[in-house]
Amino acid sequence: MMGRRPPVLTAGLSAAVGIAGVVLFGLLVGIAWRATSAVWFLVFPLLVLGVLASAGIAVLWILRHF
Amino acid sequence: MGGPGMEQQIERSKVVVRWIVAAVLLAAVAYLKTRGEVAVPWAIVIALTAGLAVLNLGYWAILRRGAPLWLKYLTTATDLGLISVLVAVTGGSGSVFYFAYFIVLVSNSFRYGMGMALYVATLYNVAYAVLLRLHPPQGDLTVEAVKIFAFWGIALYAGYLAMRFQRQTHILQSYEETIARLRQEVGASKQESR
Repeated sequence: MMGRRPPVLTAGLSAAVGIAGVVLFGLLVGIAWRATSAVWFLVFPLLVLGVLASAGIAVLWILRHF
Repeated sequence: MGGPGMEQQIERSKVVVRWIVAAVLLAAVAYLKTRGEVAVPWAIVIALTAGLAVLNLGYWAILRRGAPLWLKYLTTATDLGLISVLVAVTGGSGSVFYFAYFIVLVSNSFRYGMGMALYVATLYNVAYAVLLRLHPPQGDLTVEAVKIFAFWGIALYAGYLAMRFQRQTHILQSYEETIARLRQEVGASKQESR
């Protein structure tokens, strides 16, 4: 008989991912606000996808998906 | 989504749409040039048009045999590249042809889904950042960053709508398959009872 599976995402890890998402969002806003060169905009895809991924994980954690 | 046959059909329709959009953009550039609104040399206009025509004919030739998996990514990348050149030579961030990026975004996102929407947004982001570096805008860069965010927002929304549409299509397809199977079973049982 199969036992209960261990959680894929622990509370500590999901908190870390959430904090990373907030930091990435802060970076995104900071670059948009203060950038003096358009070269900085090249990191937007990484930051946007990072924010989206962490927001997705946070929402799934809140909904007790894992 | 839909397999290679479906992708071949989609890419063929994109070839037709590309001819139409190219003709409209060429006419618009020619009109604005005769009125002195844009200062792009004829040589660049002709080179851009010729480049697009060669690429489109090449895609058409490839599509006669089938649609390789990489083709949709290549056609999207070249479309965005050509639009970036057009935007760059017609005024950079203030170009009237900036809207053309959205044609590529909406057209591909609705056809291929969220993955393609993210791909288009990433390529646009990189191309537009390079364009801004080469042709720095007059005003604040924050405005340009907001334009990039707006593009990401539209890409995500278009991708989400495409995902919903794909899910509904799958449900409808499974219903049709179930109905066909049930009809077959009913027909078979009727024949057995006779």
